[in-house]
Amino acid sequence: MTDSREDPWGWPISEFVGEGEQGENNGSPSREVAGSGEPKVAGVLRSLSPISLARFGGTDTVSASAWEAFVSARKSSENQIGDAGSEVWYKFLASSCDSAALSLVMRKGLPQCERRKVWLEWGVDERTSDESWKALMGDVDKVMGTGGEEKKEGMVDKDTLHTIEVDLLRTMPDHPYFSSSGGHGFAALKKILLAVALKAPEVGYLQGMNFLGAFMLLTFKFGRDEENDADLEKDVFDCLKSVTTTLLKGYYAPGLTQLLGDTEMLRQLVSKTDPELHLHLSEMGFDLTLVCPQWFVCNFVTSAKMDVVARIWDLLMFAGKGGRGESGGVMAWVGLAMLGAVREKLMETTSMCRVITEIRKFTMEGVKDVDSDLWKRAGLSVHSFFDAGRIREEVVKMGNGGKKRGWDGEGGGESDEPIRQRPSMLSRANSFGSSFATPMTKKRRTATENFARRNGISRDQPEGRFLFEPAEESKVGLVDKAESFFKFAAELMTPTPSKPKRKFGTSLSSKIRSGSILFGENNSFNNEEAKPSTKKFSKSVSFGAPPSPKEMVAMPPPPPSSESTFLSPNSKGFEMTPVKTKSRPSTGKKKKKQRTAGTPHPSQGIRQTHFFTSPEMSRGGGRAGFMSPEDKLIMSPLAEMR
Amino acid sequence: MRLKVVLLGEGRVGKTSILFRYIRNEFQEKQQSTLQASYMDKRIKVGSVDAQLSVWDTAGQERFHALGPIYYRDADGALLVYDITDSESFTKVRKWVKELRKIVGNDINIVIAGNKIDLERNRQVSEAEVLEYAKSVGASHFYTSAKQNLGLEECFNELATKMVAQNKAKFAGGVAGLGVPKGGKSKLVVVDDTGGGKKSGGGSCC
Repeated sequence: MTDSREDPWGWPISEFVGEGEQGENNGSPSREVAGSGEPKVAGVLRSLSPISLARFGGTDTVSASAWEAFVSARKSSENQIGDAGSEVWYKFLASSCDSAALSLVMRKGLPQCERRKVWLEWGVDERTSDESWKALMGDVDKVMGTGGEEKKEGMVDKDTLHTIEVDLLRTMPDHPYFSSSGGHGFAALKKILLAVALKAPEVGYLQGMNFLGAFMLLTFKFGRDEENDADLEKDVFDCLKSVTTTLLKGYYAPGLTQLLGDTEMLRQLVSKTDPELHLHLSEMGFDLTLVCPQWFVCNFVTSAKMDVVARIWDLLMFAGKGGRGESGGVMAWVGLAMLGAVREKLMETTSMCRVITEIRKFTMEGVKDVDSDLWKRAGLSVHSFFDAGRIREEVVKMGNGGKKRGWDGEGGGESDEPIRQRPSMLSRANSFGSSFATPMTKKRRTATENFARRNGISRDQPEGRFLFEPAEESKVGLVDKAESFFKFAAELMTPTPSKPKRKFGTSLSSKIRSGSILFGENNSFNNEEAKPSTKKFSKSVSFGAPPSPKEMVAMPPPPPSSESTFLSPNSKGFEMTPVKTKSRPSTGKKKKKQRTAGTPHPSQGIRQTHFFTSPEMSRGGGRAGFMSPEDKLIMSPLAEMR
Repeated sequence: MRLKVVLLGEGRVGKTSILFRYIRNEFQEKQQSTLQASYMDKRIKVGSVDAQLSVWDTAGQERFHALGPIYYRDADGALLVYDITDSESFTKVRKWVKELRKIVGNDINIVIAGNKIDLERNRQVSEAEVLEYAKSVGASHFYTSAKQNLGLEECFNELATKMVAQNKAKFAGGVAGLGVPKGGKSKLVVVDDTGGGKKSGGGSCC
């Protein structure tokens, strides 16, 4: 029996076995037979010893009872795969978790055996019924029989079929499950891809979806008896269709608009959180468009180890729940974390070739370890962006069969509202940002007070309001989206004054913001023996030496003549329209933001910052995200720098 | 002299394999599909000129053309690859030629490579058709095999010679048609038949 760790696509044993618990798992029903044929372990909920707990947040933040419950839930679900196990797990989440315990779970990722159920629940709005699946399979067979049609309504055209067939041969070619000679997954994946192409003709097939499907197959079949798993293909189909048409809408359809948009978002994030790196990369002539398609289109499937990818997908699915459409944000944040993790090497590069090579090397060899610096970074950004409280609400609701349920303790009143009508995560992030709307001289308030106050602002002062209403979420301009991300990042960068230790629960937000929730206030991470990388990281985990808000405000506005283009949300939604800086149209009624080069209004604080019009940004004229056809040739500042 | 070359062509014709074989002399039987652009440098000597070739590899699927200009906007040359066992892939070459001419103009040097010549017995693309087409667009044509390392050197040398010639002509403020360098590879007769007027600005990398 070979060590599964040698299999690049297998699930590493060590991740699923609790310390000293391997023995208990013998003979449990949850053995997984990966493609390579070796049985996998049953310890599905990852082990969290008090030691690792301390490392990730400090035992003092989790109540003893919550910890007990967590441990017992984990134990029970280990031996009860499937619904019974889930029951226990949900029960734990619903009853005994406080935010810290849950964020712990989120930081450690969902249990592998629960992913299928949870992802489908979070990420898929409408499940395919057995009948329509059968009918669909009939159509798929027809397509395979005829070899594709000339372009015609309701059929897969020849081109698409050809591309799929060709790509199947190149999907994890070393994995026995996807072997072209009789691999189970090979046949399944073909059906699934064709089914998506049939059911979502606007997406059809884009190279990269093969990896998504393959990843989902591997994930969904984990711990299940493949022979009797009739729903496997259907479930993967549902999930893949949802990812490509809803969660990451615009990533896969012709034009790749949203893909380019989120690449732009990442670019903004980099330029604002790490200007030094941004400048260096620009000088090298490197553009993110060179790596982002691979990262984003494949949702990192080809760029990290399976367990890391699965963690990213946990967030992706969560972010996409209920059509919130925030999944692109996850992509950008994880991308930022990736760049951050390889930052030192990138800064040493002397040519674009080296930049690409370093990133490639990192994504192929480096992202193995869920506990790596990378994950801490991504965890910080993504997790805190989501707001632990919200995650809790969602999971509780889910664990209760979709019924609403009061929450004992803080936040109980909130959960009476239907989830979808509450402010999205994004507007929460926005609301973090809007606290900058008040002059910096004001005394900093506690996180809880801040939240209430921010809500007040959003009601009473139009200019202080969020950039968009939750209902308008789907039409949010990318620039606004990116901007809100950045504001949140800015919030993260602002050091919070150390406060006396509070009772658990009230100080969560502030902990998140200061990063302590992730790393603990006295945890091993910051104090760990100072490996150079760790040290570097802990410094830049809050995105480098934080520029003070004042500096940010002082960022010079662009010359009025600046020809920088903006992506403007027009009536059709996300179309890319280049517009002049000064005449940027806006759809949202509350986009009162001033973008011209006027003097900042004192009361607007950081909101005056011209995030997208700094001279550096506008130099290039067009950017990948919003180019007119003519612009395409002189894209990006890089052309001019050379 | 730095020269940028892009590898273009339908998916699975062997672009990545060509890149790896040419630059590193490596070949992998099972290559995953490419989505991420990558590029590699190689120093070569064209006549008396030292040239650094930057060879770019890209995703093949048409939909990724939305990202295309990033790769080929300032390319000096393009190697259009098709698979001789796949007639579909040759029709894509025609599309690429059109697109390049439209977006980059006539300045870009094109060489067409029929890859997988080791699978000659499965050939589906007729030689006559290919040669005629190549001539009609002023491109050279080579047969290559990344697997058996056939024809790649010739192919890139030809492209490099063309590009060097063009660059020299440009630097000399040359007009179209004057681009025959003295020091080209002796066995190659370089005909700059692009015909159109030269860009006055420098399109090539520094």
